[in-house]
Amino acid sequence: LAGLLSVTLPSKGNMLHNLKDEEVLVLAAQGDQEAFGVLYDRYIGRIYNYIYYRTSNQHDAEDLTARVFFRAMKHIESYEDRGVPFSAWLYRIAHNLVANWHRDNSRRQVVPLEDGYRQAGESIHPEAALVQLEEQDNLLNLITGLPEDRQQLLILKFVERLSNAEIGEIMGRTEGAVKSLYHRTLTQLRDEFMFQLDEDADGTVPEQE
Amino acid sequence: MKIRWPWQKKHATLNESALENLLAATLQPVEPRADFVKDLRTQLVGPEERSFLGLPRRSLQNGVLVAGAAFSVLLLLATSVRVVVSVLGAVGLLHQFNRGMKEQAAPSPKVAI
Repeated sequence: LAGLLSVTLPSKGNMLHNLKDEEVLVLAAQGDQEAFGVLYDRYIGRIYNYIYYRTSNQHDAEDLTARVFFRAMKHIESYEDRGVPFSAWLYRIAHNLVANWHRDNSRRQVVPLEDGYRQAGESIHPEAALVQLEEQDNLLNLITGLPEDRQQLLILKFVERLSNAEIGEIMGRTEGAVKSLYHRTLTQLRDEFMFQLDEDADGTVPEQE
Repeated sequence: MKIRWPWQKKHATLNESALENLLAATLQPVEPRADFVKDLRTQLVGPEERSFLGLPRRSLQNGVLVAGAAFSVLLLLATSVRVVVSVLGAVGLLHQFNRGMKEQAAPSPKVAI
């Protein structure tokens, strides 16, 4: 009976879910709302994550994520496939909205990410977990101080787990340029992080940037 | 941008892979609130199509399909039983008829008076 109950009819939604982005996009551009819903289901999590780590708070992340999808829906008819994947187009919208948000809020103090987004390894000792969380806090502060393109790169690589080629498509760079930028970012981050550790070890209060 | 002089880097060391591990542990994917995702979807493309029973249309279709299949199986079983009973009845009737014919054809035993 369980087997029987799990039988699904080949509905339009099911068929749409099996199509590639480009195929669904054609239908969505023709005004098919169900097709746009499929694209929404595919990318809501990724776009939200990207914005969440760029804005550092849930409220603004939700607001901007909603704006990304409303803007995408409004302009989807004019979207032209120029070899840039749909995901890259969405990230570009998100990137622009986040940039505007940062510009509008440049005088506002950056609020740290809410508690609960990070989890230290469950199996490690509580004291070690505390140290790990402190390190993660420091690292996040350093990441938010990086130039925009480097922040974007780290989020796409570690949060979205995209390859260098995919990141290149989104950022409009070659794979080699992404790789090079990534190594420069790591070097900068490592130097900053080490300097902070040294200052902490010396007992001095780290200077606010 | 602060200037870091070489002599200021004196204590800690961190290789690239350790930093990557730390980055992977720090930049964990987060789940957006389910209510937010659902509400935004409704605003964008309208609510998911639901039937009058409040179930998704696809679930209702599946339910009707399963109920129809179950009813068909029951009907088939009932028909099969009825066919078997009918055949047995017909065989019994023929048997009875043959016996009656034999009894009629056979001379009745003479009873000595």
